[in-house]
Amino acid sequence: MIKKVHHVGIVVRSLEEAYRFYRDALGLPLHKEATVQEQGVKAALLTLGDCEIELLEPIDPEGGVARFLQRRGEGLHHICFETDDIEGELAALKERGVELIDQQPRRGLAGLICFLHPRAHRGVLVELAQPVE
Amino acid sequence: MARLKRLDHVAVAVRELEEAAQAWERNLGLKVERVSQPAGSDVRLASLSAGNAFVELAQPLTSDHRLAAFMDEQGEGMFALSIEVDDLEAVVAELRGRGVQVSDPEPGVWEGTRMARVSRQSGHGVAIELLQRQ
Repeated sequence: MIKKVHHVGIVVRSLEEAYRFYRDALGLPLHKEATVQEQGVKAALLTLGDCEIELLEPIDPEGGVARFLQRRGEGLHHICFETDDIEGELAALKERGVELIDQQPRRGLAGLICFLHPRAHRGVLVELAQPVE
Repeated sequence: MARLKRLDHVAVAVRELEEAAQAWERNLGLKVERVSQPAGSDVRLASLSAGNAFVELAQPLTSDHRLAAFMDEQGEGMFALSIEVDDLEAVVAELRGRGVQVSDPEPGVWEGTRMARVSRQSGHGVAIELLQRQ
């Protein structure tokens, strides 16, 4: 079951530049910053109430986020929902024939994560995440 | 410092409201709380609850609507974040003081709401709506 919006992902050219708006002007506290090699990004989580804004800066020019930036420019990239049973969610989605990007959960910044294909939700890239301690 | 309270909703531009709402409901179990055309607007909205925030699907009813223009350029998808604030005037003034381009506060689409828009340029490609509920 979906518990809440965990974060909204935004692709930016540079974390440092984007901090000037999201952290300094909007005043959102920076919660976490990390490099996620498998996704070819430097990522940052900023707290907004009980969810987060995730900023993504591409570091791998061949990666999906770099291609997104090239094609569409900076902007909204994905929405991530929190679940407490990502295996169960994935199994149910497969049974319903929903198009997936990840067939199995993998490690991401938000815990165990998986991405659904944007075609499944009319152009919206959806991520599911189960936070791990 | 004037505070941003919470994410109110993520706005998604769609061409077929019912079809899109069904996909979100069927795949993810998000419940459609309401479907309506706010008075005086030329857009139909479906609000789906995700617990702490809504996914709001928006279908423009005229071809010259700004959402139609958005979809002509980018296709269907997320187009704005709506963030709830306590004191819209104070937040707008503060952001302007920090060099952010923000529109003057105006009535929102829903009765009892007021909103102002942060320019997409200031928001690094993201249209951000600041929303105050009365």
